[in-house]
Amino acid sequence: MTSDLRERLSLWAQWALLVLAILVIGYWLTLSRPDVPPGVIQLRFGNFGTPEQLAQEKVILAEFERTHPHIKVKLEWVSAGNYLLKLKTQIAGGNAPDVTWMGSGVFYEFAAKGAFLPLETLLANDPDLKRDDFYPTMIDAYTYKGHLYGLPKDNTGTVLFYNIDALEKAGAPLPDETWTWDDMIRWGQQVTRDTNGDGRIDQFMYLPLWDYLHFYQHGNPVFDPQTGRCVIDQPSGVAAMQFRRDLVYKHHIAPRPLETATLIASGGSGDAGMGAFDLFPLGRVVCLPCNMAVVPYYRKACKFRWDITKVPRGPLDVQLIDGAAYPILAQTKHPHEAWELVKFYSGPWVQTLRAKAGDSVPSLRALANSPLFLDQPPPPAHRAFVLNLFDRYHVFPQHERLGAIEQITGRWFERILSDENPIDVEPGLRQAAAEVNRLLESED
Amino acid sequence: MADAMTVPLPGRRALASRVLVWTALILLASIFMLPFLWMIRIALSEADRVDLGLRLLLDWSGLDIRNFARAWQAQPFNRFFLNTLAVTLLGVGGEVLASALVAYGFARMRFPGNRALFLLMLSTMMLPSQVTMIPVFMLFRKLEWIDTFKPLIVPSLFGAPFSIFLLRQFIMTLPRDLDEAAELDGCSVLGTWWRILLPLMKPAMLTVVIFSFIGRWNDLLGPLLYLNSQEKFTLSLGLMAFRGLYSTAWNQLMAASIVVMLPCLVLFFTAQRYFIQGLLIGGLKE
Amino acid sequence: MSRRETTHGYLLISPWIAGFLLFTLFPLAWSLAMSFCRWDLISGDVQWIALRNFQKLLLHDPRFWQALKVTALFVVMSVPLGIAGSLALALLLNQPVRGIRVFRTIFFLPAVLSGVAFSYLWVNVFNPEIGMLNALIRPIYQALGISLDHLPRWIYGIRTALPSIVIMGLWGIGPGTITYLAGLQGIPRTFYEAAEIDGANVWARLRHITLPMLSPVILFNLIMGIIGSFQVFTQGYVMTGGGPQDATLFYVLYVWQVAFQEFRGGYASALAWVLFLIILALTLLTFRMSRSHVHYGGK
Repeated sequence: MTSDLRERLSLWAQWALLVLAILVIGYWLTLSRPDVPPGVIQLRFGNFGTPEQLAQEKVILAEFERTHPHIKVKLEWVSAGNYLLKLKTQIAGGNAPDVTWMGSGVFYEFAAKGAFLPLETLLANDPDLKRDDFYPTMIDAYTYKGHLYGLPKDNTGTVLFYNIDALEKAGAPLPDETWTWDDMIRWGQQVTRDTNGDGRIDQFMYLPLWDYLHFYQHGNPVFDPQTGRCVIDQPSGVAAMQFRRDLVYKHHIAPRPLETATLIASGGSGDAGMGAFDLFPLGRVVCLPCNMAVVPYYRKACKFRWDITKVPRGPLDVQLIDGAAYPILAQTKHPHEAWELVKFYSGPWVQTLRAKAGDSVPSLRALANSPLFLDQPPPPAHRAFVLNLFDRYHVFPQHERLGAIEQITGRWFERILSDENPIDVEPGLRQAAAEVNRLLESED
Repeated sequence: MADAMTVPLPGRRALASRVLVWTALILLASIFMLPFLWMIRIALSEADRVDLGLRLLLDWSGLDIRNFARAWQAQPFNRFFLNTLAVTLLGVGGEVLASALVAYGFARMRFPGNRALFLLMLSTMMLPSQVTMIPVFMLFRKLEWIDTFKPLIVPSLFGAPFSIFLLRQFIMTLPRDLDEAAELDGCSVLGTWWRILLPLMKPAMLTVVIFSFIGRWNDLLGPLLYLNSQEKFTLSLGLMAFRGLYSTAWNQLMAASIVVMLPCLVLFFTAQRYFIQGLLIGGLKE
Repeated sequence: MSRRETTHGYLLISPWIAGFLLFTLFPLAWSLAMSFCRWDLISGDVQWIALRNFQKLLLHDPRFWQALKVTALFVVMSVPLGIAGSLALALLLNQPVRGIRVFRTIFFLPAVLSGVAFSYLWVNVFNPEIGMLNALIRPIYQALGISLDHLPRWIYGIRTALPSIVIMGLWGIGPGTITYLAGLQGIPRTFYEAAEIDGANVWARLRHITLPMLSPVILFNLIMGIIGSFQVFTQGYVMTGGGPQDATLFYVLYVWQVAFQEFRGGYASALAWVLFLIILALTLLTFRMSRSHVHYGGK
């Protein structure tokens, strides 16, 4: 090839590249055009969850847009892990969606920062929905300083998922509502073992996911109801944390933190990873405490028989209940259309769908106590017990600073529970409580 | 050029040392390539085989090429790809032209404060973007640019210190007679820049294009801060979201990662000499 | 220096000046002001609290010191290791061997892959269960009869997490190597010939000719290395999230967390300003110290 020809070819190549680049950018610009007809209001709905939940949301929104032709909803879907962070960044950036949904635990945090619109007048004036349609404990959970900031989406309690096949194979009985932690520990020693003979344990009885649960069951309120100070370092808290640690190091029925981390990362066959929750379908963990949102996923992913029951009782019979609600963001320009959407989601049409999906208890009491929810095909076969939880327990923990607090306690709990550079339970909790209380005093 | 300049050693000692050097180089090169080999192997594995350990590298059976398609379809990666490409191209284009203009000013014009401003510009390179990110974020918030591509593209129109530096160093090596002659012929300053200097600067411009492309393609902080809606995600964000959802599907994660890396690899292999040239302009003197 | 040239000069560099004012100077000034305030990024409330942020940072924030320690350790480990590694590699590549281009490509390659995808590759390589490194080490442990519980935990271990990220950084020594290679080829051969006649051995030649002649390049790489190490973010954010137990809490990651996870704008600004001052001091120090050690000879 002569150098002249080569030069000409390279010139051609450069022009071709330039044209290609312009084409790419041009095509891409046409992609970003929104298509909302005049007279129609577009709402942005910040949403997150699993692919199964996404599919359900699309069905719901199609129905909403059919019955509300003047509103169009843009679903902004985020994978679960960092949703709250994303939402905070959006609020800080002045770019929040109009409506979203959020769990009860962090609800006060957003309410306290003025991120939500008060809804009590809208609800009081509404012809279709009444306050009494919902569980009082759930309405309480979304009421902050006298204002209602969200309509209940659904109610969920932390329940114990258990793997029937694995328990039977190990010769252990199935857990039921009478179980205490002693039962869990006794049978756990039989179930926790090395199933493939490579010298390493690959099946654990239990995965402790909610550390605060043990505090409540040991009579420690985490925050003092009067002063609001963090009290996890009181003797009841020390006992709770010691118990939590013993599950791993004394009774050997739960994995160490490192084992949990690497078990999650080495799942291999999981195809819709949900972090720790994947360890149940993978058979690495036989009993797992989780709320009912994972039911549709487990129905699909578990290749064994399973069911749910109450989490074992501790020294006190306390269970964790929680839920989620739909708030309207204070930055919205369309509060009335947003209310229509929120109302639709908490109303009978969507809640009937939820009852059938089986991933949560419907927020409307009438529907929760109907055969629609109670008589679904298993799994899970047991579900009536879940309804009792909402009459007996309260939603907690809830706190205006829960995110920051959980970061602090999470860090100290991690150290207490680690087998590398661990700190003793008592000094660890003392330092955690001190750090939390310093944060609460600083108001920063 | 490398082979010509090195010191020849005489005789048998030379042979022995050559073998030694070769062995060392091959060993090091294998170590460098091993993680990539591993990555390819995992990406091609059937789901239940990713935990086989060493056997994976020795036994290349049980391959499943469909991991690539599965991973790519699990999220709108096509869209992410297009977004990344467009943002990168626009950003690179803006950065290179603006930098070339500024570099021309620094290299050719004598004005009070030239050197001081140039040093000031160099020193801004050491400022981590986290130091300025909150006010810049608030600035873009005021402009209502959050969740648009503008924060990722518009700042490039002001040039980038490293690019300006490289181009300025390059212009300094060009003879002055040409642009002086052009000016005598009645060319304006911008005309001289466009007609005389830009064509001469082509190799250095390509270098800057490549560095800028790689930086922007791999950028995480910018998209993380400014993009919210999924249809605007870049590949970095898409990949993170994918891992959030499919944390245990290593084979698919590695497959997706390979595809994300591919454009940078292609660029590197086609334009390797411009990389090296860029380092030589930047790495020596001053 | 004509008036016309002055005007044109300022006009030509005006894009950068505008960018500097808009994206560097103004943010720096704003964050300096905000570092004396409490600034809630979500509600937007601002409240003057004078020096309280700095007081808290120095006296009551162990994570600030941890972040500083992690970053300092990282700089101290990764910068010298990177310089030594790339220099050694350049000396090897400077030998008359075949296939130099192929090797150069191989060593350079990882440097162009710095993003999230590259980090995920290493998350997998470092995984204690299924990762490549422990796959290679496990047979050795088994042969020696060491319990597999003692396998390195890499990014999951408190002591190993930071060194793991340093090791990963060694895959990026390619560009540095190229600059040394060019520097080596610029050293006149007559220097070595003269030294050989004087009877200087390999080490003496390295110490008295090669290193001094390369010192400007070493300085350049030292400064770039320090700047780069202070800016490490993606690895911490994507691979470890700062953990375990804050073992990889890089300073800029901490600033990010305070700003965009806790949304405490004032405190984050104070942290950012402390970092700015540290980097400023370090760079000035490097320049000052280098004045006595760097030789711009040979020309």
